[in-house]
Amino acid sequence: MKSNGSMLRLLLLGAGPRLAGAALVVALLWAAFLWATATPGAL
Amino acid sequence: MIWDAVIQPFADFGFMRRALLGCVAISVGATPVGVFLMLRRMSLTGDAMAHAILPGAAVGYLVAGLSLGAMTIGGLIAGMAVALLSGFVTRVTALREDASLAAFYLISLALGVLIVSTRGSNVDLMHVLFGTVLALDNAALTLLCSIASLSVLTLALLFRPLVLECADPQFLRSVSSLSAVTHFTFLALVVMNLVGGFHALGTLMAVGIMILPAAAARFWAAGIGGMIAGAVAIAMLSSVSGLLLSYHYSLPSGPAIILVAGIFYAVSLVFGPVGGLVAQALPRRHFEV
Repeated sequence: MKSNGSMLRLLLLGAGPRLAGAALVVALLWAAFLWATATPGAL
Repeated sequence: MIWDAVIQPFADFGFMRRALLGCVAISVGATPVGVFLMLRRMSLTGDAMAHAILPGAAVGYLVAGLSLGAMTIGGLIAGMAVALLSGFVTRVTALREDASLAAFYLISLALGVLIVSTRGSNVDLMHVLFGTVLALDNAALTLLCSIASLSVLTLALLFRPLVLECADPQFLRSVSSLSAVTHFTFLALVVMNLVGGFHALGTLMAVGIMILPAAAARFWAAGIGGMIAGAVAIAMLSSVSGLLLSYHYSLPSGPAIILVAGIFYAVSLVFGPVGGLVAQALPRRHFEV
């Protein structure tokens, strides 16, 4: 049985690249936010 | 022609751009959560939780009117309370989780409708039940984008534990202390996304954009990554198509978006290559499972 620390490392394997991809999606989302809210338009 | 039908509504009208952004934020944040809900056989739990946030939002409405902050905090508290209470009842009594969750959400729904009806008009009740995607202001959009950002980053960090919990929760529990953290973080993500979706699509429709694209994507991809990508794409296409249908034919936007997602689901059910009706009816190669 692996120790808790090494199991944690295994469970978080690949989290770095995934977080980088997620950060890109988040950046695109907020860019879209700036585009959509640049002009008034809410009812 | 295509410009007039597809681009012009978003280019000319700010409220259409805001509605589109709100729907895109929900698609990016809530739909991957829906994929994990489906894989954990908790799709109906999501539906029950969507109804459960109603009394909290209604109390927020009672205290502060149609205030974004008050209704959001009320919805979050009510959703988390019902999730924890139904889990508690399941552990200490003989009642199964589905029955206790059904009991709590029915009580919540009735209580929420009662609270809104005592002070508000039918218009307010319709706003709470079906949302106002065409009237999203800056504060609502900030909330939706924040929830989507938090969801995407959390799912990226906890992807492997979540996948393991879908496949074999007892194994994860036995080898790591991350099991409880993963479970409660996931529940919090479900409630947060339902509360965010509730502002745009209402309590009755919010779960639709979470589950229908996930169920449709199940017929197109065998892996979880492909399923998430497919579900987000279907949710975005449904949002754009639903908003355009609503604009051109004067239809209510929320139901139009969910109905288009329903059409995607029906098409996937028939033609999807992974377990769809046509794929199952076609003769398989020898030794193919």
